[in-house]
Amino acid sequence: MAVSLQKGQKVDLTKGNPGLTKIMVGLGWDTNKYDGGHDFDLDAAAFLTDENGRVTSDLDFVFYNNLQHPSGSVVHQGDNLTGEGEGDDEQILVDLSLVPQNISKIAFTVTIHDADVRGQNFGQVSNAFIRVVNEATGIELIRYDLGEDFSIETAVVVGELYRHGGEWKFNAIGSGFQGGLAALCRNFGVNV
Amino acid sequence: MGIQVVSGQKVILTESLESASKFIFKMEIENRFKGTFDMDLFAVNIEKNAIANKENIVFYNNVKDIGKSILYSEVYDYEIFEKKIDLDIRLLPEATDKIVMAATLYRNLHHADKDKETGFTFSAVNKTTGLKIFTLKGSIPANGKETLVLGEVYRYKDTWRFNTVNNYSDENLLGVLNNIYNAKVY
Repeated sequence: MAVSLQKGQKVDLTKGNPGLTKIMVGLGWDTNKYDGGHDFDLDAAAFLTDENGRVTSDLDFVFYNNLQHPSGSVVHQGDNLTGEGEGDDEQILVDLSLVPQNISKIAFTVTIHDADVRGQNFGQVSNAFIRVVNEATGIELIRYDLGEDFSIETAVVVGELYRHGGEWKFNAIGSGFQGGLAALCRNFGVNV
Repeated sequence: MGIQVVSGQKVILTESLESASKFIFKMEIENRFKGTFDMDLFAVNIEKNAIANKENIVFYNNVKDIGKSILYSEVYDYEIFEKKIDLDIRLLPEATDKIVMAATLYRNLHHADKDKETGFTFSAVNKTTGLKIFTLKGSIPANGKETLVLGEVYRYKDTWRFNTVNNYSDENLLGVLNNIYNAKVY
């Protein structure tokens, strides 16, 4: 049974699951019916950072326009334009054994495309979640449901994987940003 | 002063279930075109089983709900039309899921030029302190839309909050309750 996390909670990922290297990070959300005449398009992304939380190259930003990290350790499974349907809306595959040693954290984010133009924000998004699945077995290891703590934010750092004492752990972050993807990129040191 | 809110914005009304519980939600409609435009303010108590008892739909023709937790009043002035909902959260039935605040839009078609529209403000005041919590500004378009969902008062963990919706609909209020909230009115 998956460990269900609260905001800010940190849990071991590899220590309790020896031999785990390949995981699937699934992100999902529902949008409400007040779309203001525009569809919602939410985008998941991953930022591979050093211990200071900054990317070392723009290629450390894996998203719909850069689906795979040069190391092959992080692969975005592609953009879902509508978010319709049950389950994960977007998925990112991570092979922990391929993550370069200079990468200390992998942050997973969700942003709303064209949020300002469309007048949309995370206050209009519900049931957002992130889950970590053992890719080999399909077993869900970790789940974090974000709840309704968001309002006018247009980007959210949902959670992060980070190295700790030779193991990988997961941190349920759930922090919102205004300013969309551009604000997130600046936060992680990606040139925009 | 309060904050000016936008669609999707959530505002905490009560920090805990024991704190202040009385609020006034006030709609002020400019009477720039002398009766051409108006809005009828509604507060609808939707229960956890997605049912709305019609006696708990409070508006000008039913000025209080069964438990007297929601009271309606209005003032028609020459310059401003004012509609008010007094809400006492502590008197809400346990079955309450949310209170939907909505307005149906009226325009006199003989006078409602398509280029005209008139403004309104919808605000919330803490009745105990008298402090304004938020204001939503908008307008009534001259044609098209029938109903405006202003927002929802709802409970989240140990707080009561207001979720700003600000969504215009082509449907009447019953259609909105049915199709947006999947609520049955009895």
